[in-house]
Amino acid sequence: MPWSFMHRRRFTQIVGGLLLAPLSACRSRGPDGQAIARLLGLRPGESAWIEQLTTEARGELRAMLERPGDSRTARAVDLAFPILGDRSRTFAFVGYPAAQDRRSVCDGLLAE
Amino acid sequence: MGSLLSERQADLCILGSGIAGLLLAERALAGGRRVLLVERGTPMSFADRVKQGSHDDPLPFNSSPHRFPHEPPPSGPRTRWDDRYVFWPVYNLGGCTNIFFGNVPRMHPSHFTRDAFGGASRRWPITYEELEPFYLQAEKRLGVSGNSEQPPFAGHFDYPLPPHRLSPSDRACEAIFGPGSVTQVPTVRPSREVGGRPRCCSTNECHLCPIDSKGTALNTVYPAVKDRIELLTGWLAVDLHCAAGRVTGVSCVDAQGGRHRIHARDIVVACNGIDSCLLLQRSPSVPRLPSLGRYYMDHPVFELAIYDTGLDTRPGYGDSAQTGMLMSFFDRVAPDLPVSMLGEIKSSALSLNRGELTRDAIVRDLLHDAIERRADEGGSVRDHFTRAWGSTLVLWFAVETQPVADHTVEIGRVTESGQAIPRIVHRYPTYFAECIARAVATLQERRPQGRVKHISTFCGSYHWLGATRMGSIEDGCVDRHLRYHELENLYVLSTSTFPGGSSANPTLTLTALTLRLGDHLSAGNRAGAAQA
Repeated sequence: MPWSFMHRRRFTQIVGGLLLAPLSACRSRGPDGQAIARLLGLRPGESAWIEQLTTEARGELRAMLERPGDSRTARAVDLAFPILGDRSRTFAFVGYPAAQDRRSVCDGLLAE
Repeated sequence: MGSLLSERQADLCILGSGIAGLLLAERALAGGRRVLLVERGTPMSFADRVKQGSHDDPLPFNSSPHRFPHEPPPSGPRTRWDDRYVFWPVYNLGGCTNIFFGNVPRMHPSHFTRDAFGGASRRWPITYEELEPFYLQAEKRLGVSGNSEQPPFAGHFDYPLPPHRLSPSDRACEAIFGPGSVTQVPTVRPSREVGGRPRCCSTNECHLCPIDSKGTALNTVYPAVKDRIELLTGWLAVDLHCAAGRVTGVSCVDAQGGRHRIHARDIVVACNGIDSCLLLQRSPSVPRLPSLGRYYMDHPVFELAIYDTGLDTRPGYGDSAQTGMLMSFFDRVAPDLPVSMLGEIKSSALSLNRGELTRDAIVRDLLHDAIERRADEGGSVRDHFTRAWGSTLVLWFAVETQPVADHTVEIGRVTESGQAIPRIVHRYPTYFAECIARAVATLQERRPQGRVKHISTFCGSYHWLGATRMGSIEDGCVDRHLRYHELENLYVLSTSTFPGGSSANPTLTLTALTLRLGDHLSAGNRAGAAQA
C-alpha cells in the first residue's frame, strides 16, 4: 500500500473525526446527558464521562439531581459516583493538575 | 523430618534478619564478636520484589498472611479490615521494615511509667531517660527525617535529616488544635537523598517503595554487615534445646526438610512479635513462664473525617505519604482516660484511587452534600463539591491498647513443612468507644461549623506487642536486658517484649532496645574475656 494513500486516508480520518465529534457527543449524551452535565458542572471535555451510564440510568440520575432528598440523594450518589469516582476524574473535578490512575490503589500525592 | 545434616558453632547466633537482628549483628561485630545469623526466608533482592510485586517468599514454611476471627467494633462503622485480625509478616531477608509505612516516633516518656489501666501493669522496667541515648543513635543509624526544633515532646532530639514540609492538611489541623499541636512525623521516608537512597517520591506505595527510598533493614544495615557475618538463609528455627539453665542448641530445618543444629554462646530470638513467641512455645525444654503468650497487644485504629468550611486542607497534596502527626492526645486522652492516641494526619487518604473504602466513603459523603446544596443554593454540584473537598480533613488515630491476660498468642498448628501457624486472640479495648467519642467531641467543639464523622475502624496496625513481655518472672518473660528468665544465654529481641503498648509505632523503640542489648552483650563479652 503506497504511503501517499496511507497519509490521505489518515488525514481524512482526522479531519472527519474533528468535524463530527461534537455532533456525535451530543447524540450520545442526549437531553438527559446535557442536563446532567449542567447540574454536575462538567466541562465540555468531561461530558463524555456520562456515556458510561445507560440511557435509563441517565434519566434516573437527572431526575434525582433535579429533585434530591433522602433516598433520592443516596441514589444520585450511587449513580454519580462511577462518573466522578476515579482519582483522575475527582482530581480534575476539583481543579487539581492531571493525575494518573495506575493499577495500584495508591497513586501518590501532588507537590505544592 | 530428615536426618541431621550439619552442626555449626557460633559465638553469637541471631534468629531473624529484620531490623533488630541485623542491627544487633552490626553492634556485635563492632564489639568483636563472631555472628551467625539465621533467616527463614530467601535472600531476595529488593529489585526482585518490585518485579514480583510483593515480598512473598517462595519457601514452603513462609506462608503469609494469616487471618483470625475478630469481634465487631464496640461502635461505629465496620470496614473490610475489621472482621478479621490479620498477621502479615514479611518472611525474607530484612523482615518487616520492607513493608512498613516508615513512621518512627519515640514513645512518650510517660508511657514508660504507666500504672495498670483495665489490664496488667504497663510499667516498663527501664525508663525513657535510659533509652533516650539509644533513641538518638537509632535515629542516626536509620537516617530519620524529623523536626529537632519542634520535637514531639520535651527531650533531646537531633534528627539526622531535616523534616518534610507540613502539608496543607497538617497546617489546617494545627489551626484547629493550636500552635505546637502538630509536628512533623519522624520517618525513614527521607526528606533528601541519603546513603545512596533518593528522597521520598511521595507515591504513597511504601509497602513496596518503587524507588527503594524508604530506609529498611535491607538497604541500610544489611550492606554494612553482609560480608562480615555468617548468614544462613532458608533455615527455619524450630526448637531451642535447653539444659541446666542454658540453651545448648538450636534446631533448624531447611526447605527440603533437612535438619541442622547450631551451638552458640548466646542466642538471640529476633523474629517478629508473634513468631518469637511461637518459637519459645514450640520448644519443649524452654521453661514455661506464666506470661508466655499472654498480654498480647496491637493498636486498634479509627478514622475520622472532618467536613468543614473555611479550611485550606487540599487533601492529596504533600511531600510524603504522611508528613504531620497530631500530638494532642499522645500523652493521654484525658486525666480520667490515661491511655494515649497518636493522630496521623492523612493528607494521602483522598489521593488514593476508587476502590479504597475510606476514600470512597468520603467522596460519597462529599457528593451527597454537594447534590443537596446545589438543590438548595443553586450553582452546580461541582461548585459545592470543590469547596467541601478543599476543607476536608482525614485523621487516623492509633489507640494504645492495654495488656490483658486473655489476649493470647499460641500455636494453632504446625504445617508439614515446619511452619508454626499461630492462633491469636485479640479484642478491642474496653475504652475504645470512649476514645472515639472523646476525639469526635473535641473536634466538634473546636470546629462547631464542621461535621465530624467516624469513617472506619481497624482492629490492628501490624504492631505485634507483648506476648513475651519484659517484667519480673511473675508477670514477664524477659528481664530489663531482654534475657529470658531462667535461661542465662537466651535473649528475645522483638516488639513482643513491650510490657505496655504506648500508641507510638514500635519500630524505633525496638531499634533503640537493639542497640542497648548490643552494648549489654558486648559488656558481657568483655567481662567474660577478662575472666577467662
